[in-house]
Amino acid sequence: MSGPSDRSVAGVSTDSGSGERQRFEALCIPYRQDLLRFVFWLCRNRALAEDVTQETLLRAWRSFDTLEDRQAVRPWLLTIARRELARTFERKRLETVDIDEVVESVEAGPAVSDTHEVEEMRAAILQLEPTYREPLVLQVLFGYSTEQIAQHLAISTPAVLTRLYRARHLLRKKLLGEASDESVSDELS
Amino acid sequence: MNCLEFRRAVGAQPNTTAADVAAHAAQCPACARYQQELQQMDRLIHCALQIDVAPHRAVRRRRVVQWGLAASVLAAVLAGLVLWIANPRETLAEQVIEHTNSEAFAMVRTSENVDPAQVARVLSRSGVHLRSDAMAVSSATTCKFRGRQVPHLVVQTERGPVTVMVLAHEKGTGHIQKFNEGGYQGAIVPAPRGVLAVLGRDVPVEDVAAKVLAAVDYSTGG
Repeated sequence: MSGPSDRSVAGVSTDSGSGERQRFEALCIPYRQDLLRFVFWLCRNRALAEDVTQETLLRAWRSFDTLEDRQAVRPWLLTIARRELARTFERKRLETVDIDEVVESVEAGPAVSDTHEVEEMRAAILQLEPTYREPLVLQVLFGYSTEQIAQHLAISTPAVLTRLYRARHLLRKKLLGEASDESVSDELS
Repeated sequence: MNCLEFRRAVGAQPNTTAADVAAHAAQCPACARYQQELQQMDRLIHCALQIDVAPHRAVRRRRVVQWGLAASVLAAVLAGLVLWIANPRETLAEQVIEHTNSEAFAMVRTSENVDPAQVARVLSRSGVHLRSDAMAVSSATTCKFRGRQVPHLVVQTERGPVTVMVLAHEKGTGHIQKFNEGGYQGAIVPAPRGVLAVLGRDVPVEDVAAKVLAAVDYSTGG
């Protein structure tokens, strides 16, 4: 990776590095919360999500000069975060996640006055397989089009449509005990 | 398009505006209801995904070798804060765009409007009262934005949906500030209290702002 040699990672910077850093801060730091949410929904572990988010920002800083389209910062950061999480998984075998503990850790935050309905939905999303959860997060939370999701996941657009359909179908089934649409599900299999 | 194809399409994209989907919904009440249910479920999914990301105080493992790099990121965050304080207008426009993107599911062209009573309820939480139901409001929610709960409306126009955020606590500059970013045209418009943030794609945002200001009453709240 071509790191920016004149930039300061440890706090010592040249004038040009300082300007570059200001641009990085203005462009990338506002997306920290998005990154944290995205990584959390991938790994379901709050502490790990914070670590990966931090490492993502560091990696983004180091390769800031490779960012070609500055209007597309968020997809660029989310792609780095995805790779960074994959690297983390490769480096160490992560422990099995207990969904009940994950739900509690999400609820531990002071903010949102969530209804029971929201909590139920959150628990249901946490139980989705990652292949269904990730495109759903990209579409609903970040407003990605199916084409953008396909590009992000490096799969075809029809495959994205299938995963999104199945994600919603599983959520409906879980929340409503719904057994309908099996024909559609089968059709898509 | 048959019912199976319809359900496959809206199951993947509940807010799709594809003509064949709309045509099928118009002639099949059961499928139209199914689509509405999925749209409601998407709002719930969106709320569920918006987890609190305030700094977490739990004990975490942190590699010592990363301290120098961590300090760099902290410095970046602090510098970002300084920039934010130094240039709040620019950040406000960016954050409105960001918020609109995060609720992109609501920015769809639709003929279905929410009940004016719901619009009034949402506005009243910010001390703003609805005095006319002339606007076609397709979505009215209270959203967390810059640390406050604010009304977020989506108003339908002939040229497409427009996001309107009633930011009664933001300090206005006294004049309209226009912006054109991320594919959106928008304006921060002075209001009797605070500002209105209005944005859309190729839509007359200032006309919508004027319409909203005419339809609401700021005099009783705040």
